[in-house]
Parts: sequence; structure tokens; C-alpha cells
Amino acid sequence: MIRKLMLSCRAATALMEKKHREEITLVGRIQLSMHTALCAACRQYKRQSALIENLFSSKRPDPTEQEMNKASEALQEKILRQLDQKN
Amino acid sequence: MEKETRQQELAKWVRLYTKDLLVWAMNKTSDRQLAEDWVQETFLAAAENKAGFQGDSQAKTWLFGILKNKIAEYYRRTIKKHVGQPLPMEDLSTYFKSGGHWTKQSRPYRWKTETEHLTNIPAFNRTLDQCIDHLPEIMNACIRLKFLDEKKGEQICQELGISATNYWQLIRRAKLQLRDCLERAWFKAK
Repeated sequence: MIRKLMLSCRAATALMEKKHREEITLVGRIQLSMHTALCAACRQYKRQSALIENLFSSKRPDPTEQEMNKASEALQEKILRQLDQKN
Repeated sequence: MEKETRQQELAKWVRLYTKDLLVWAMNKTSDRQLAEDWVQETFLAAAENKAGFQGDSQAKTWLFGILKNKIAEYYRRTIKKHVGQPLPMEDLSTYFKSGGHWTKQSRPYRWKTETEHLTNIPAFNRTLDQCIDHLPEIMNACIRLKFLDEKKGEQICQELGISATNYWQLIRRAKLQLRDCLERAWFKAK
């Protein structure tokens, strides 16, 4: 019984993705928590995967604030010229 | 007269919002030129369709909506190029042994360096962008769409004939690869 419930790490990481989007079944949920309780590597993966999710939304452009200001000013001028030409 | 004021209003928006739009666009691609093109196209589209702007929504929200659609459209076209080709994901043997356990080289260990406020560090943002750019093109497009809009990625892929299962496998595969890349290029290098 326990063997049947026990997931491999490959299956566990796939289930974690499912859990994010809340499509996981009750059995899946139990299997996943059993697995992560016993598997240190998958516990790390879970944490790191969540971190990666956050990084995507918080990452910033590489140029400095000053460079960004310069770039957006130049872009502003370019866009204003184009809008003028259109009219 | 009315045309004049409309034009003035649009020019005002260009001055007010170009930077915010550009910063956001650069979060969605590491290609600065591409980000600038998106913002420019956003304002041109806004000029063409100023009538589409409902006074009851904020101009900024409206412009961000146009930009978001431009970005989604760009990645949709990228994914479309790959439709019909084999997806780059059958082989997970780099990450898992045949029994399903982690391989030695890919087993996740605790990242010992600081994991909070990482995106305040310019060098880290650079590393992250490089790791994202290393993903195969279709995976890159899928994961970019996922973080553009949680629903859009799956929806667009399905419209293009990529099943939900395959889409989520692509996302997992992309995460496995990103995790490895970040570990090697940042956490172990520090």
C-alpha cells in the first residue's frame, strides 16, 4: 500500500506543477506531502521552484536607473516624432 | 479642435508612462531593442484606436493592456513556428535516473547564499536573463507567457494545438533547466 502511494522524484516534481494550478487530486496531495516529508532533495526543489516563480515577476532590467532614464527619454522623443508624422 | 486635444493627451501619456512601460517590457524579454519596439507599437496602436479608450478606465491601465497583448502576440508567433515539430522534452535523463530519482548532477541541494532580495542585485538579474535565454525557444516562449498571464500560456498553446499536459511538461522542463542553470551560474559560483 505504502509502496503504491510512494512517488518517484520525477513524478513528484510533475505533481508540484499541478499543485500550483490547483488541479491536484486529494490522493495526489497526500502522495506529494508523503514524498516531500521523506525526500530532502524534493523539498529543496519545491522551495527553489517557488523562488524561481517569484524571481520572474520581481526581476528588473539590468541597466542602472540612470541608463533607464536615458533610454526612456530617447524612446519618448522617438515615439512623439512618430505620432507627429502620423497626423 | 478635438483632434488637437486628443493628440495633446496622447503626447502627455507618452511623457508620463514610457518609462514604466519600458521597465515592464524589459521584464518580459532580455532583448532591449525588442522591448522598445513593443512600447513604441503600443503608443502607435493607442493613437489609432484612441476611441477604444473608455474614460472610465485609467489611461495607464489601458496602455499596459495594449502592451500585454503585443507581448502575448509576439510569443504566440514564436510558439507557432514550432508547432508540428517534436517538443524538446522527451528526455529527462539529465535530471532523473531510470527509477525516477534525481541524478547526482541535478539533485537539488540547499542554496546557501541569500535568496531574498536577489533581484536587487544587477549581476543576479543578468545571470537570470542569461539562464532564461539558454532555454530552447519554445520553452522560453511558454514560460514567458506563463509569467505574463497565468492563464494565457496554457490557452495560447491549446489554440496552437499543444495539449495542456504537454504545456505543463514544457513548463516543468523549463524550471528544471533554469534551476540547474541558476545553481551553476550563481549559487555555486558564489
